[in-house]
Amino acid sequence: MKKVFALTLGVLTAIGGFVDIGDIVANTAVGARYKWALAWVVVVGIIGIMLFAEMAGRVASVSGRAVFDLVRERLGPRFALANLIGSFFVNLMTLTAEIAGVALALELATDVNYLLWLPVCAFAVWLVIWRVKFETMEDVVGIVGLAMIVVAVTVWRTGPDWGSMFHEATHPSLKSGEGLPTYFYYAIALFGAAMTPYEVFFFSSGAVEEHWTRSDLFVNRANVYLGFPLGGLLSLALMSSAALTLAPLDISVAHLGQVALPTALTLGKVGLATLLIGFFAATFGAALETALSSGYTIAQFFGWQWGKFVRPRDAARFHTVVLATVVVAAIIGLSSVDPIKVTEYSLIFSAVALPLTYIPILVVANDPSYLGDRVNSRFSNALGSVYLVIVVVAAVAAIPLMLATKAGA
Amino acid sequence: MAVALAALLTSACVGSSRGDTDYQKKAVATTEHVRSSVRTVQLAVQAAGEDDAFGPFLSRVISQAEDDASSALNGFASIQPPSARSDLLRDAVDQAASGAIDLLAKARIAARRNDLGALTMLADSLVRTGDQLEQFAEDHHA
Amino acid sequence: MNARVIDAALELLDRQLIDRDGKLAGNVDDVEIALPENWPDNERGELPVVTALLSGPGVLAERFGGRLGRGWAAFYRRIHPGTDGSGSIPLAQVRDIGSAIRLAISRDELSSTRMEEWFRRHLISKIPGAGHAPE
Repeated sequence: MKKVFALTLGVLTAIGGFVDIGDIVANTAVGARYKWALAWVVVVGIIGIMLFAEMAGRVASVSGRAVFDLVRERLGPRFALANLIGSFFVNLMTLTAEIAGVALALELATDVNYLLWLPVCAFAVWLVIWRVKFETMEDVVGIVGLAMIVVAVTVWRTGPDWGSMFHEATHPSLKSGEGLPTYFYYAIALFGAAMTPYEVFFFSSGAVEEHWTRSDLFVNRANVYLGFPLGGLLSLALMSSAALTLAPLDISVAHLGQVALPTALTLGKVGLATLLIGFFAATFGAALETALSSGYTIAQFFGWQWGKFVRPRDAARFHTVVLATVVVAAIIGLSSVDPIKVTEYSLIFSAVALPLTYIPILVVANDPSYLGDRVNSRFSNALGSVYLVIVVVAAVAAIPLMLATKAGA
Repeated sequence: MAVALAALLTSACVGSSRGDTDYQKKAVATTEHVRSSVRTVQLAVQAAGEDDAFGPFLSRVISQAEDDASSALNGFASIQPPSARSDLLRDAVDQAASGAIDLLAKARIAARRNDLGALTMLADSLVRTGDQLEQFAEDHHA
Repeated sequence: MNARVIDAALELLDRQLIDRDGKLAGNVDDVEIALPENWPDNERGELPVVTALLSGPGVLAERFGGRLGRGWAAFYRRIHPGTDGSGSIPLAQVRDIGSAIRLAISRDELSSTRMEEWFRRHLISKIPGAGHAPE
């Protein structure tokens, strides 16, 4: 039984990290606009995050050190500080979007304005981090988050023509009036949704929280190879459900409610209720991960005591940072910014910030002084180098494309 | 200084025909926006008719669509039409979009009252309005 | 013979400090070095010796240098009056140097963890459940 639950770190990271408000919004918006013409990006993203998370998990298991700890040690405090500031900023944006996402899910269930839910959600996120044990938190969110599978059921019950779906995915073409820059802008947003830096901060710090060691490398792999493909499958399901129901009516997606319409139409009230629970769990899980990650990154940079494996009073600065970040995110969320817009921008900035964490991990994963005989295989390095190029190109292209396309308008 | 002023004046003059095209694009984008909202509500009403969704959910989805449509129209209405020719377009967009938003408001009112009968009665007009807006966008494509 | 030749920049700087109770106690932000006489022209070939590890945001700021570093250091001194904030740790209190550096003392004895103490006392301990064991 313990082994089964050991897999929930991957499921939590996958449900709360891979499938979070960013994926929900981006995959649905892209499916409604481009149908399956960007499905390849999801596949590229899944393989990338698997590679990236496996390296980070392996480094954490063998050396007992989480990502940010190593970033500073390997790249020096100046570079690490610049990295910390960038990562923290993106993380704060993502946290804002996730807390708003939880509130939006509750809004859909209750018809009470999300701004009223937002402070409640922020408090709940903090309270769980404060009181609930790490493993319990993972198990509950991971298992409840499985409700998102209802999206895959929706697609299956809609009964698509699998052949033509596959053809559209493998032979992407643009309908008239769609420009290439906008297409690539959305490609980067999807890529940013798949490979979000906080997933790796969380996964590697979580491995340390769960006291993984060399003997847990199998658990690490199993988590990565089961959890992330599940997340990828759900992303493709969201994209397909939008492509099948919203795209024929040429609906452009601006709200979480639109994401749920295909499931309601196909599976009725039970399906809709399940999906809303899934939205709640996925965004709540991601809010926990991003809030913890803000504490992890800062505490690891300075070497402070961090983590939920000690009493809060023994990690006072870590808990202070987490609390302060949740409060700031809630304030930003309440300041009448459009939460869906915040989500979209957080995806683009995730893509911009990605090389900052990807490159150090790739370097350390090749360093025998940390990993001994567990350094990257030749295959991992070949793939790692290909992704190095992809990650850098996406990061460099993100902002110019955002400006040129007016954020995909 | 004089050169700069002259340049500014010429660009303002030349801009008028380009301004018309620009304005036309914005008009089409606005009707497309409103159409997307109408289609969303069409799906919501369909779900209501088949008893596939809860009242709070429907009411929220519909009122968000209505808000989006109104803010798209308000945004367009605040743009200065570059010429008299554009005034006609402005009126046409205003008429088409206002009718649609009115319909969305009716849907929202019915959903808030949980009046499924009134809501499903709107289904046909929603489809028709959506089609009209689609036609409008096609006719005015720059 | 406790002397050991290591690359201070690589094996000491920026490493994690762990105190005798296994608590994380900051990073090595800088090191204190004693230079032998006439170094580097010392005829007996003596090398500089690391005499202490320095830790704390103030130290890190000094190491950064530049306007940002100086401003940060000045700010740090201001909120920590009467200390240079350099949790100076004599090498005698270092138990082991590995991928992390283990100390023979408790982190509470370091002046660099005053901020931790301040937040513990004034914020975190006041919230119910702060002493709750993580099971």
